[in-house]
Amino acid sequence: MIESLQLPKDLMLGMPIVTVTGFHEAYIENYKGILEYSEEMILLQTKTCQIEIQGEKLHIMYYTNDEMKVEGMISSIQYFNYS
Amino acid sequence: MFVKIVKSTRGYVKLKLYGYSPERFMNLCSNHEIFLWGVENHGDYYTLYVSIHDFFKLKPMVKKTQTKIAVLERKGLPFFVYKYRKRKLFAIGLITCLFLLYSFSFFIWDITVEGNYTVTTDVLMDYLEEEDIRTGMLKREVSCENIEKMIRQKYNNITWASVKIQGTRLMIGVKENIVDIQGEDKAKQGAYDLIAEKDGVIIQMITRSGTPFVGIQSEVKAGDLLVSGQIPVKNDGGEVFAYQQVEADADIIIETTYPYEDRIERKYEEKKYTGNVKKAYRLNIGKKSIRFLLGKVKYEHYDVLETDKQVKLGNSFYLPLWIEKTEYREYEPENKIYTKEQCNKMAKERFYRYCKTLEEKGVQILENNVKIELSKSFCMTKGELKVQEKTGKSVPSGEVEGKMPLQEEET
Repeated sequence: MIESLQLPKDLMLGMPIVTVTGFHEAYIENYKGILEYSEEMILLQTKTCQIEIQGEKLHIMYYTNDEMKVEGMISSIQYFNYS
Repeated sequence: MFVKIVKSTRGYVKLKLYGYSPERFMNLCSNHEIFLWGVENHGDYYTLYVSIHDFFKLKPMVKKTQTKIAVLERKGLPFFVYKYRKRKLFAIGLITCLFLLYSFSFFIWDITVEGNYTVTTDVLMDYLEEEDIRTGMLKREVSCENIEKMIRQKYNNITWASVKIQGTRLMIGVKENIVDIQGEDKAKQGAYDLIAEKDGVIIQMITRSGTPFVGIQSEVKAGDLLVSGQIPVKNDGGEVFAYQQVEADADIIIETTYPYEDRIERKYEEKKYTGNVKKAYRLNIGKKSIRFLLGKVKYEHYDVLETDKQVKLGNSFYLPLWIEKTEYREYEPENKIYTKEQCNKMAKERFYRYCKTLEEKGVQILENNVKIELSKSFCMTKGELKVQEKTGKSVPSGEVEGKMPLQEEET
């Protein structure tokens, strides 16, 4: 239905958007909250799943209701608990 | 960059966040649209930044999540102002200073003139003053084009004028006509004669127009008629029945003598500076002046040296402030007498200078009989110079009737 209407998926389904620049910068949009935050790992809750960013010296540059920017040496991004 | 400026003008604080669940606190913050940035994990606590405005909304969230916050740093303009709240006068001074500088920049504080030669700067300045163009006037009241026009109309020999404003300075550039127009455009009406300016013997004479009254080798006295501007017109009978009126023109070279006398006193007073200098300063603001002088000048003999300087910022931002420095230099007068060598040298130098000015005028020196005589109290340079020079002064023609013109030789 959504595909036939050609509406943006992130808006309709509330899917998270992760934009990674190289390995040191990541933008995450459409998330609901932070579950865990340490220098090695950031766990985020989104509408559909959880996103875990692993790396070193992770650092939240800024942080608003629907967008955040993470900097640091990112080694992996994993998804859990799909629904 | 812009965000940074806004943040620092609004003010922000660095917080230490610790306790039961800091993550929940952060989530709550974002849900309440409280902007957090620079979040860092330091193991058992977090540090983060929040604006002052949002800081006061944190209290319910802190209670809810059972976290604790501590302010680590305060940054931004509101804190800066608070810190220096007792230095209001300083701030007021700074602002008035800037304001004064800004308002001074609306005025003209200096006028310079360039390229003038015969019209002196003082004359031009006086003229500008008459036309209400002076230092201290508003810049926007200055119309450069009008000034250019005025100058060109007032002075005939200024052929080109440019006026521009640079900073607070009004720069006037002029070009003068090097060739003297007056001599050329003075259309002479009627007859003009050439008369001798000095006594002497005519060496050479070429007449272009007019009737010559003297010839080569004739002796003339100052004021004698050399060439007449009236040319006799003869009828068939050889009788003069009319005179044609012309402007006499001729190259006449005359041999004449110049007396020369120069007396130099051998006694003179030499100033021996003691090195004691007393300085006085005067500060002129507009037309008012404040004088700073420490005590009185106690010297018996002293020279006064005055220097005037206008205060400026950069190259062309002149301020209405002048610093006048007056120096009093003490000296001891010492009576001395020139030696023979010194006298000779000085006399020669002065004579040489005199000859040079003559040569510059177009006088050719043939020989000189000038001698230097020394006596006890003075040194006398005396003698005569034999020279060749051009002569002939144009004057309105007088009556020539009765005078005999030189008979022209047929060639």
